[in-house]
Amino acid sequence: MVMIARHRLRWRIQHWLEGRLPGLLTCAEFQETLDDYLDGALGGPARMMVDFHIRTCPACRRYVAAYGAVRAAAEGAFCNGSPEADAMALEPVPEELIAAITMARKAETNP
Amino acid sequence: MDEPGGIAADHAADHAADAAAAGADDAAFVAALKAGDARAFERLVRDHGGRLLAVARRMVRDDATAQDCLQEAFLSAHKAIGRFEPHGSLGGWLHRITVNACLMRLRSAKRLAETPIDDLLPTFSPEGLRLGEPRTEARNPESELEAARLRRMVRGKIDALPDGYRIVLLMRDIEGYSTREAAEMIGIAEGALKVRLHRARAALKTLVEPHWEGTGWS
Repeated sequence: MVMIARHRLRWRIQHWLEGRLPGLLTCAEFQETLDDYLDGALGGPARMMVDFHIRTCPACRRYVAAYGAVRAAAEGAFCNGSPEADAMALEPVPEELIAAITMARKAETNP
Repeated sequence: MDEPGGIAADHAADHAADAAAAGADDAAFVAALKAGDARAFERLVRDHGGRLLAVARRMVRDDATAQDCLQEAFLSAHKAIGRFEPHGSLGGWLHRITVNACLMRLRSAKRLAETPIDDLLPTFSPEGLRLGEPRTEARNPESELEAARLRRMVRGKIDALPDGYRIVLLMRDIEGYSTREAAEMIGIAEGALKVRLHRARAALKTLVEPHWEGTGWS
């Protein structure tokens, strides 16, 4: 939840009305809410404030689009079903390593 | 719609029988492991080793160390098999043991500490306004070739992150652990993990963006 002190909020509304800030949240505060926002974990006023910031701040609008795309790309970079991920998973364990593991187990079982 | 006892019901019964047979096989296999059957243990290594070695390589980024971690993981599994719940997922259980073996190795090499990455994080004016956001926009790759190139590039950039951030990103976004699980396994508070994860993703964005051109993301 985004907690903003009342005096800071008043200061921000005033600056926003004067066109000196892009929205009720500063970009730095928006940045702190980003993962909760993308995860759908923000509710009520906090989500409205973030939505409003995104609508009114082109730099943060670009940032959230790129950040979301990078997040998705990271999640998909090793995804099961991609040819290279399947190849990595199907790569057999080297026989020497299997032998080393089974020998180590044997030594552990019969010291 | 098929009547009870019709084709659909026969198929359902076949699936149930197959599942029961697989379950019985799994139970018998786990029982053999618990009894100390050497052949069952070797089958365990052969069946799960490839996937787990890929996990270990992702975590420690070095083949020899990954092989050491895999060996440690299977020895830990051998010692702990008596405590394995019969209805649990053997694959999931082994995955967690392997990740823990890798984390232990990284921790002992002091590779899990948080290091400064300010150069890779977004910057703001004293008033809190965003500075220096590039004007590139993401679009989806148009072919499998492009998508594969993108995945390779992103994997390379994940590898370029400092370990303390890379591991958090891997555990949450790739290996699929929850914030609470990842925090417990790494040994940091949930809040600290969330902050580190956000920094890792922001740093990754900074590293990826200059390479968007030609990857389908330009």
